[in-house]
Amino acid sequence: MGVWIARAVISFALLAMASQTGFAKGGSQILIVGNQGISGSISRKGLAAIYLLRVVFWPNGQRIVPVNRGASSALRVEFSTLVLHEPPMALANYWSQMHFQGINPPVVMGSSRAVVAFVRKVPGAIGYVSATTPTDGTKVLGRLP
Amino acid sequence: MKIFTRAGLSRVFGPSARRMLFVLSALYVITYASVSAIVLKDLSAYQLAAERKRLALLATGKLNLITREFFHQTLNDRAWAHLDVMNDLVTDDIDKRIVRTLRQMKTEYKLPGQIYAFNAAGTLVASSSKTKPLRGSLPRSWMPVQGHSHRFIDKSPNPYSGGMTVAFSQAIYRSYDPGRVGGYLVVTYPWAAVRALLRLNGGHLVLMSRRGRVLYNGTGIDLPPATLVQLRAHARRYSLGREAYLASYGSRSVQEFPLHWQIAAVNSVGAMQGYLHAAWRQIILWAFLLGAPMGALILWLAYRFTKPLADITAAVADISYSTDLTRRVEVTSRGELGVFQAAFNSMVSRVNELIAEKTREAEVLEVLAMTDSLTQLPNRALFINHLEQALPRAYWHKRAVAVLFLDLDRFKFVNDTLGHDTGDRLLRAASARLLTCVRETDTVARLGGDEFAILLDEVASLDDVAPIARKLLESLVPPFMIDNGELLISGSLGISLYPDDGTDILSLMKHADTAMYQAKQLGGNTYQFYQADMSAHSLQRFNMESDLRHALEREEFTLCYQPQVTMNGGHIVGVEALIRWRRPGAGLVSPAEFMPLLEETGLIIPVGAWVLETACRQHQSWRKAGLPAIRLAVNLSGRQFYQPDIVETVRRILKDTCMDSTNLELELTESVLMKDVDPAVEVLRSLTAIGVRCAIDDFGTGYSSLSYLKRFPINILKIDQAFVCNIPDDANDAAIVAAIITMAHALGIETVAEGVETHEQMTFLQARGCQLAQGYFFSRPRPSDEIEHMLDLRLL
Repeated sequence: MGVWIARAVISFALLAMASQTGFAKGGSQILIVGNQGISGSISRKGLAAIYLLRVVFWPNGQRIVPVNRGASSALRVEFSTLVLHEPPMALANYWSQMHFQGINPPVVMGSSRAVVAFVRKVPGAIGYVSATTPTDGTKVLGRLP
Repeated sequence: MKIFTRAGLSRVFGPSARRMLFVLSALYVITYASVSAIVLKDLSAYQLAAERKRLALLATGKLNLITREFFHQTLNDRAWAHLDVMNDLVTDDIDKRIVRTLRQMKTEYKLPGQIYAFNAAGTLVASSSKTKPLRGSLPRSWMPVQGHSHRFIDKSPNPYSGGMTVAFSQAIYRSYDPGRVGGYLVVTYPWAAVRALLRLNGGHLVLMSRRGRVLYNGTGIDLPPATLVQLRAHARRYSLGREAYLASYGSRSVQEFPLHWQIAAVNSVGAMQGYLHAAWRQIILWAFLLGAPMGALILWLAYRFTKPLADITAAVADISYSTDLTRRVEVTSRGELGVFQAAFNSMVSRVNELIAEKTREAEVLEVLAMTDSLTQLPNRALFINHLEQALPRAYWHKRAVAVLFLDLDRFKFVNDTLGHDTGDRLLRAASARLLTCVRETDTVARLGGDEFAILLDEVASLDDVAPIARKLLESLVPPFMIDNGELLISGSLGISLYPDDGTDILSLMKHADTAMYQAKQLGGNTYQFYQADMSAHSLQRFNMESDLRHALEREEFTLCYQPQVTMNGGHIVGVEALIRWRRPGAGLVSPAEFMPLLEETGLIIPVGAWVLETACRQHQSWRKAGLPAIRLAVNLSGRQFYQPDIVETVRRILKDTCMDSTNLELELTESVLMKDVDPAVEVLRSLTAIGVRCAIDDFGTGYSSLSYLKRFPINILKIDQAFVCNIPDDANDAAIVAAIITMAHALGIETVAEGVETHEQMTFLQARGCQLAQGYFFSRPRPSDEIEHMLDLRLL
């Protein structure tokens, strides 16, 4: 219970940061999409915490469902490098450690379209797609870099 | 082999042996059949048990196979439902990742059916089917029941493919939202695949759902509800139509999957009986394969044991039919039967010896019984036997049989005077001669004494018999040389013929005897054929003979006396005692009638002695009465005379009666004396020596040589009345009488004329110098009291 409270407090902090700093716009961009039920924007740090499953609830108590791309996906490599500052392969050890703790890694979708479709359908879902992807029915939370 | 033919079988195997064969065969058949039946029954029971077990194994195996298969499908379904890719249900499989995954699984696992993925709303999102992109929603029946994550869907139509399927549905829980059902994954299993699993070799399966619905019926027969009820109740056996079925049920050993199907493996008993039919064929085949050597063995055994018995039986039958005791059986066996055979042989040998012995003895006895020991001729018994055989033969052949009785004349004389030895030799010689006169088929027998009987078998006629009779008599004519002396003998022959003179043995023999007697009456040395009137005579003679035998003791004989008187003066100087027979019922019988019978029967001996003694006693009583001593003449018969003890007898009687021997005068006929001269002379001398005077009776009738007269110490000649009765008229007789008287004078012998009846005769005799006379002219024979009276009165 203590952990969940701590995480909740942290997520608030992250959201506060994000709203202050914001994301750079333009270039080869990655769109951060979220379910329409999600409010506000998100910082890079917050994003990293979400994808490393350190933050699992939205401030409104909604469970965060991060959506990843396949390990071989170029977008994921780019996303990982930008947000987590490490390529996906380097995180293998981290995930196996997490798996050992009973925590599954984020849901993997095969395409940006699928990510959009998933995020649209699943409340609390968050994903990243290429900038060219139509994001109908989702809420763009930010752009990378 | 011969024994296998019907006739051979009955010849070699008797009824007992055949019974044994039958019993042994029956024993074999019964044993084999019962053993076979037991084996078959056990085999059948075993077969049933084995089949039941096999069916149970089949059913269990199939049930477990299906259960395991279904279990695997369930596991797969569950595993697949947990795949991350199922998260794509949310995106409606926008990337077709689920579809790809499902197809990959179908290929990889060689699934017979399809896999369908539905999202949480029940919309079909993906399937492994390649045919067309399917759209649809989850059928209600496929949805897991509330509170369950998975469901087994029993046989039902597949709404997507159309065929019947079994299906396994599994709830999908998304990895990001494990608390809620995110969709459904359904794996179908086509019924065709189930059927393929249920395929069987031998027997059939019946598959039923938990509710008793028939899911699969491998029997090919529509099972009626009653049968289904039986099957649901796990009946072990049920009937369907005429066919009986065995049923066994599968029991589940795979517990992980709760399949509530029932599987019954059934098989018709009839189909199963195929094994038994094969067993039957084997048993019957072996019955013959074993039966052939068994039968041969039985036959061989029976042959071994019954052949010697049959041989002995045949030998016994042969012997009893043919009485051939030389028959033997071959000793073929060792052991008890061989001993039996050998014992049988030795028994037959012994019996043969015994019978031969007995036969020899019997033959000897028969010879003894049937032949006359003296002459070796057949005796009376054998003669009668031959006659018995000859008569029927003659009857059939329409031939005659002649019975000849031959009696030797004067044989008694030979026997009496020359002894029995001589008589016997004479009989032997005579029989030998008789035998030469007849054919071999004829019979010459000695009936006894000097009587012979000859049987002439199968004679054509009377004319054939006469020559043989003559021949027989002639054979006796040549003198017999016996004891260096000649014996002259002759025979008297009587003949009776079958069938003219009688048809039975008794009458033939009696008639031959009668005829013989007739021949003897005729003087002997002749033969007579039987004539009917002979028998009356013969009977008369027989009766007389039997009366005579009793006459002496019944004192029927009396004596009367005929005076002998002197020619000169007519004084009684003597009497001749003459016998008279007062036969009861017949009065006085002439001595001429009964004397020959007395002579013949030998009764003359006692009767003669009686006559002599009675006469002497009478003479003494006269003397005591004071009458003058007269001469007493008593006749002696030939037989009496030739008695060896005649002199002694005379002497004894003289002594007993105190008779003066000089007064006794014994008269003998010429023929008696001439029969055998030398002994006669001897006897006469002896008689003379004791003072008895001897007279020749009936002188002149015989054929004695006058020269003998000189040798005989004779005192008196009695001139036969045959001469006397014709004198003096017959010159010849007169001359003979004169010559006799003259001769007697010359020899110093006194002469007595017999039968003087007339004065002329007396005168003639007186003139010729005859001293004494007797006859009716002087006195007939008178009883003793009359003689006494005459003597007292000095009559005549």
